[in-house]
Amino acid sequence: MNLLIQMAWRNIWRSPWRSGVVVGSMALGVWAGVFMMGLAQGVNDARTAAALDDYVGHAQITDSNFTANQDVQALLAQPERWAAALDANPEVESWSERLVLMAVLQAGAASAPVQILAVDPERESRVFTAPRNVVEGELSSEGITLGQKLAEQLGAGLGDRVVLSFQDVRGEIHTVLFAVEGIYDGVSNLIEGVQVYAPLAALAPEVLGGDSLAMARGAVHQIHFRVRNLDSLDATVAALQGAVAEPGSAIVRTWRGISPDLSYADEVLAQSLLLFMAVILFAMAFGILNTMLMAILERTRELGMLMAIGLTRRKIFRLVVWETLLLSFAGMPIGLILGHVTIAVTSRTGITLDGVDKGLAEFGLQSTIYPVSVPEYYLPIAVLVAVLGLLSSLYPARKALKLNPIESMRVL
Amino acid sequence: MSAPSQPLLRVDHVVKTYESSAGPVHAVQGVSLDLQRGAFAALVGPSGCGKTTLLNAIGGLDRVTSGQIWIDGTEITALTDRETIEFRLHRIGFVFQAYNLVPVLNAWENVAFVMELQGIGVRDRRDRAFELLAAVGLTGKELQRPSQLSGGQQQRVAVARALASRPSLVLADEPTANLDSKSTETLLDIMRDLNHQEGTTFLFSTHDQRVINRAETIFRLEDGQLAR
Repeated sequence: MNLLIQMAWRNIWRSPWRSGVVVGSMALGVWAGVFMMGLAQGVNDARTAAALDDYVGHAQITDSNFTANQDVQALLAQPERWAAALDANPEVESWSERLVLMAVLQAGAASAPVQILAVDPERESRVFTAPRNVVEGELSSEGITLGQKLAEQLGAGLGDRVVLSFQDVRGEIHTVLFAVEGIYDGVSNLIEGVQVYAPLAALAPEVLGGDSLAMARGAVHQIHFRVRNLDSLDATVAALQGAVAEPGSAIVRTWRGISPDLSYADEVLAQSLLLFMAVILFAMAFGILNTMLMAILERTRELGMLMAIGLTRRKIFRLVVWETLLLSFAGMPIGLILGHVTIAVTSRTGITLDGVDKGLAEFGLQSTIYPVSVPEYYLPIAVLVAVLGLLSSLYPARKALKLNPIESMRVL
Repeated sequence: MSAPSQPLLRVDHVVKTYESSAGPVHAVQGVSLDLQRGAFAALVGPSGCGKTTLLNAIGGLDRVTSGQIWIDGTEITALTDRETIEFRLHRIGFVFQAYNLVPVLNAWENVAFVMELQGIGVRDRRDRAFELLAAVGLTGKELQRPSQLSGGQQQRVAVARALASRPSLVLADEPTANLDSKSTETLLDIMRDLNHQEGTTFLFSTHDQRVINRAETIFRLEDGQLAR
């Protein structure tokens, strides 16, 4: 090994306690950063998974006009062909059709704007978790099912009669009387307060305004489906698109297209986590700079002697840079390993955040968080450590460069 | 440009003046001297007479105010800083009063360090370092760090280091000042032997009578001037 690098490494351990503190704090900082990254990734993954399971689904087939403006007239063309393609694809786990319309729900004197999801209860519960989380009554094929939040707002309970007012595909206003037959516990209060489940079979004739042809085709606005493995989603979507000839204005969207906020959250999270790590390391860089500055000032005489016997200023600079980099890097692997192990353990046990469960529920999260290992961040962390180590070496190295051999050797 | 004659070292009307808050300090005032190749010489005089200042100027560690210094045909006073460092690395060896070994390197690594800077391969520099350590009587101490060696042993490592690059000239600034009598005699014996064996020229700055007694050539400085 290059003697200069050997010297740099040995110089670090001339003050074992001082260097040990720096190495330890680097390890601690990297550990904390990695663990927080894993925790944040776990929260995000849980939020995404909950959203996919509860109300977004894995993918959706719909008419592009319906996607653009939620036009009740934009029915999906040839739903029976899509249904056949879904049944034939082994990667598709389950699917469910929906009519979706905006309505006003009136319960006694209270009313609220709602989004009606007219579904087949059995099919819907195979695609989404919300219908399975009915805490009172059931997801009925005759009555409607409200979210807990909406039921609370309207003061409605099981057996109460409510009126739904909406526009059919011909533009005529319909009012339909339903009994509340279920109350569900949704992924978030936001969803619970807006989405209402109604029986597809009962509501379709009203929505289609007596259009017998549309009724005969089983007309719907959307078909949602789940795949067995999310990694195969894009391939499955491509296969479905290929399976239905002349799809017209129908489009197949994955969850990233249905709910771009979830996808953006992943990207924003990745950047913000690295920024978070950079802030931690930036603060630590000052500690390293201070340590190196002290080391240089203590070794003024020795550096002067090295210059006298032939060490060029460039090599003095390199010596200081190597020392700083090695000092910075010494703690990093320890921190990475500790962080990785901590995440590996807590990803199995989970971390329960008592007292904030209601706040987490607002975002569709459980109170137990399962951190996720983030090895893809380890290389960027190493690069960050190297860059900040290099930056923090510049000032001490510059100090060393300014030394005069004779004056330095006079220093006691 | 070549030297006017062939001494290893020629100092020609060198003046070194420092500026201080009390006014200019004339540390060296027009010193001229020649030193022949293979000499074992001493620059002597009381403290503050300018010995170390002149030695530093000869070693290229300090710039002269006026005058010229030639070593082995090269006018070092005309070199740039970079050229001076390169010249020092290959042509001049230093022995300091306080040994000034690198504490994190062991004895052979300290000796080999200069050779590493010269770009000599690890096997060659290791062989040369072990050979020099044997020559200064430190066989078996090669792997010991300076803190594990006595003052006399450290100074012998410093002598081996000064000779590692096969320099034309070794400059030794008060090399025996921190040594007891026995260590001083041992060190002087070693340097004299190396002077004979390797043909290296030694120039000491000293006021140690034991060193003066062993020197073949003596230059006496008084108030920055060479005494006749």
